[in-house]
Amino acid sequence: MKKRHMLGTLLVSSFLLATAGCAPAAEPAEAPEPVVITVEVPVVVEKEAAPEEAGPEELAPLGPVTLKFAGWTYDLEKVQQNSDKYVDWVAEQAPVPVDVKIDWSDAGFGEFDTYVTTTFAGGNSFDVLYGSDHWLAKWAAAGWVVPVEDYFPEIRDYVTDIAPYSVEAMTYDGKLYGLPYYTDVMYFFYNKTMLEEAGIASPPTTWDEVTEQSLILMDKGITSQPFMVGLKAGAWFDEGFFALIYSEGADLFDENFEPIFETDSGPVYDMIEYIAASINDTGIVPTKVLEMTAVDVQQAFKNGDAAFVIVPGYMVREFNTPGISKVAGQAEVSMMPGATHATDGYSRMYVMGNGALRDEATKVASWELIEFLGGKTTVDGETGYQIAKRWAVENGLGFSILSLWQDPAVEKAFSAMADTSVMQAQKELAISKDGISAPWFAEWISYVRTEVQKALLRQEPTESVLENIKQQWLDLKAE
Amino acid sequence: MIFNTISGRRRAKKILVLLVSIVVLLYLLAPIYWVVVSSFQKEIALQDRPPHYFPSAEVFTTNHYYFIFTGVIPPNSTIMLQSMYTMRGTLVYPAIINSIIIASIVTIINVVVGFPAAHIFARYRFFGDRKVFLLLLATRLLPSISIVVAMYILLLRLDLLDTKLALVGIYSAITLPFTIWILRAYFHNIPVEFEEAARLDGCRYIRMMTKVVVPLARPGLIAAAIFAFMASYGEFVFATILTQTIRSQTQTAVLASLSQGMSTSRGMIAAAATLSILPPLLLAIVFRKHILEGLTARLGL
Amino acid sequence: MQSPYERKRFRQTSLFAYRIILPSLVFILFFIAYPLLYSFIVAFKEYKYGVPTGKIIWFQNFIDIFTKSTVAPGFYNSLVVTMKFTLVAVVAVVVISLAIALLINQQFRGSGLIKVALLLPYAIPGAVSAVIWAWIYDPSFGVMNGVLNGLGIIDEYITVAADPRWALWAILFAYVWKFVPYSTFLFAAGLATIPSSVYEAARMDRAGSIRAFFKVTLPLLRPVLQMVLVIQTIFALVMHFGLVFVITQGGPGDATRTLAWLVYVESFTFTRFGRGAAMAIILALIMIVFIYLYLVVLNPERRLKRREAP
Repeated sequence: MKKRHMLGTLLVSSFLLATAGCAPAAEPAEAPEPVVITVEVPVVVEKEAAPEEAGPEELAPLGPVTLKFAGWTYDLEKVQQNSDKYVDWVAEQAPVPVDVKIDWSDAGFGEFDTYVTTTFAGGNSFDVLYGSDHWLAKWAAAGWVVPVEDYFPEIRDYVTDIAPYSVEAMTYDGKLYGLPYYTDVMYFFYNKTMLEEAGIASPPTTWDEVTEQSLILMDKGITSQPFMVGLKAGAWFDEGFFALIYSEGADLFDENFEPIFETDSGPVYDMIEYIAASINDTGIVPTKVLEMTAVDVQQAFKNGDAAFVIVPGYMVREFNTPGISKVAGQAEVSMMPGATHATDGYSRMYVMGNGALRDEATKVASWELIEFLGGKTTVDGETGYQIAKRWAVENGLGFSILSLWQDPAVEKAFSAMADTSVMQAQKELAISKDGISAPWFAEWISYVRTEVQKALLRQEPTESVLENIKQQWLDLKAE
Repeated sequence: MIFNTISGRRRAKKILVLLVSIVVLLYLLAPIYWVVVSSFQKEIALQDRPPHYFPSAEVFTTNHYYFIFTGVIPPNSTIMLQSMYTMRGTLVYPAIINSIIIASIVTIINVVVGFPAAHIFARYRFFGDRKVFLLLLATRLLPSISIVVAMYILLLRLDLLDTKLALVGIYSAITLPFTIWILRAYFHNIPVEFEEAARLDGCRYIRMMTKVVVPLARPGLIAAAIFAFMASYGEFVFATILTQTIRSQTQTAVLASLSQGMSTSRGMIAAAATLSILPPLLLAIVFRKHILEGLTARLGL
Repeated sequence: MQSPYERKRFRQTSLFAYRIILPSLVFILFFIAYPLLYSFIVAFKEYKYGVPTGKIIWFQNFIDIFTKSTVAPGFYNSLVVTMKFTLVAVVAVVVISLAIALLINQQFRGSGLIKVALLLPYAIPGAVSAVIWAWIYDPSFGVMNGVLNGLGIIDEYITVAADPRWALWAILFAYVWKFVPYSTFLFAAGLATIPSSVYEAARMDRAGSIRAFFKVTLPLLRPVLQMVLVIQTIFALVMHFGLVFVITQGGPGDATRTLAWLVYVESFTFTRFGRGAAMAIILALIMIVFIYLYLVVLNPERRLKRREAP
């Protein structure tokens, strides 16, 4: 704060000095000095004013505390409601009551990593924030987020009720860093009615069949852009790209983070070549997928533009709902085409920022927020995964909490969406992104996005693109 | 051939001028027309092919504006459309206010600080005058992206990231050289005789400036103020990199981030763009004479 | 400036002058000169995850930019893209704005209307014009597709922003729209100063209007033309940033990765602030070449008519 004032004073004073000329004669020798002062301001980053220590009476709630909570922009109305609920709950019903105010801020999902990075790199912090599997390693290695289990060992009780791949995604260096917000996998959806119109009996099971069927659809004038997967160079690229290469059984790195993919053949090479051919030769994939995210692909499918799409599970809910979708009743899920039918699975989570450690009350309140949102709490006498269940039922967000499947409301909501047995089978073949626990993964994948786009557009041969991304991985690893 | 007669040639020339004028006007105005018209069309109508070039009453709506100001998703719209309204749309109005606040302060600084400085450069000879003036010119030409990285880190250290104050300071620094430049040229066109050849001291100088110089230079001053305002209002590089929240975000930053998602309501984006361009367009039209004079003043023609 | 009195007076004037221009200088020194110098410090440091590692690596960032196999090709590509864009943009802006200026100069009814119309793109913030053009180019519902389709030029709606053959030119088209008016005003002002007697003389010589343009108008416009050329070059090198940010994000692939965009990506996507700052310095150096050209070509020093105090 002081520094901010100093700059203001500097500007105002230099301003007065010169323009309010009636002031006593100024000594010009002094003039340049303020600039120097500001330059030499010490580099201590001041924290927000620390909240007062807990009151002396033991019964009174801790605090007051202002929690800095950050996430990406999605259904902010519900986020607001959930936060309000938490504030009420934590003041009276929580195991350790705290008087909390929430200071929420958000950025787009695509910019969220940059937002978090610049905030922490600048010496500021959040107390609780959304996290994602492909950023956790980087944030944890930099010390921006802290291992919750070091401070609240009870978080480990959740391990038995969360699917192992999801636990793994929230773990760095053997420590659990948070609880799930939602987890999902990428599914292959097709428009049944379009296939019937074209006289195609069953959905494709290999990528060659995708091409064949797409060409028939195009020939018959049913759709001009049959197949879409969002490959805009942003965070959604990663899920689409990994879904494609896992379907052919790709394996990128061994357990020592050594790259083991081939650069002139093999599943990664083949899939890049396949999509490049689909864009440039057969034309079954429109070029515009390079500026589309999974959200845009979902929109196109609902509009009846595409016959085949790869999208995350939570978007599926809208496909078959009349009024939401123009293709209601026509969308069907199928196993991912390809040699192994595997797909990409991802985890988004709530994690604790290092700001939470500034005092006891904040720390407790932060953990209670994470548990309220991602864990099991008792609200008004009812115990359960309050918020995770709400996201699942109302928004169709996927989850990795095993016991939630037994909940009738959840079961009902999901079976209305699509063939849950296929989705279940696909889910079992979901793979968490390879190399994701390497701290440099986030930087590497940003590089991969542009490079792979070049190969998809045939601006550069696939071999050299794969050489480049391998080299980049090795360079980053060496650092 | 009519082209062989003088009157025929003149008529042909007239037709040619008319045709070219229509093409030019179309090129200049059609994009603006289209964004304004889009902002008043129902979202579902915007997805029609071909688009409604001249919208009828059935596709007309003010819902996009209503949403921006209230956050209320258009009633009676299907859920599919509802999902296209991001709450970030409601930031457009506060962001425009931010922009106006920042640009206004910068304008005042330009007038109070830059105007006398320009006067000094135009009227007096002093130690290092030419060098300082060239320095000013040079900074005007430096690309903002070249200093934004360092600026970002500096502001982080000063705890000034995401503040209006930082933007005000930066924009003042960018606009001052231009202000000084054009006002200096303007002073050269004003006869010096009215100014008092007094001993230089603050009191008299201020009196002389307000009583004599400002009234004479008013048109130039207005032009410089408008330029400073428009430049700060529309600045993008610093605005998008050095701000994070609506505490300091300007309309350019909010609008750019809004337009990133293809599945965001296009009607809402169009409405946001329409609102954003209103202040500078009004200024430009009201003060068009000043702007045209100001733009060409430094040609020294 | 010989006598002691004059010298004293000069000193007094100088002191006073600096008092008046001091605030402007403070702003410029603190917000432009200081960050510029500071970017050298940043460029000499190593950054990881957006945090300085504390290591001073001197010119390593610069060496990486020119030689490292994962950085250099992208950098060279960005130079090519930047130059290609700059060249075409400058030529397009100059030709179109000169043509419009000649049109306005006809002084017909409606030329005032064109002048007002020119003010609109000029007044619209660059980023907002980018949003407008992105909507026009929209691959699914864009009005450009609608018009081209209606005229029978295309059968299918196409994407320009994701097509490497078109993306840069889509940016350019929007850029020209925004920057033509400014140059047009300058040209129009230049044309207005050419006395009509010059044209009458040309007509006496029975010169056709095209000949008259090249023989009479263009030479007289040379000072303005030079100025527009240089200003436009400097603008074209950086002012496309907002358009790239909104319309293509440097894509598809690296088709619209200009140097300005690369600085942004290195700094804020990869948080390699050191390398980003180094690229920013290189960009500034390229600009300095143009600034130098500007100062030499236009020679404002000569125009600085100094006057004694009244």
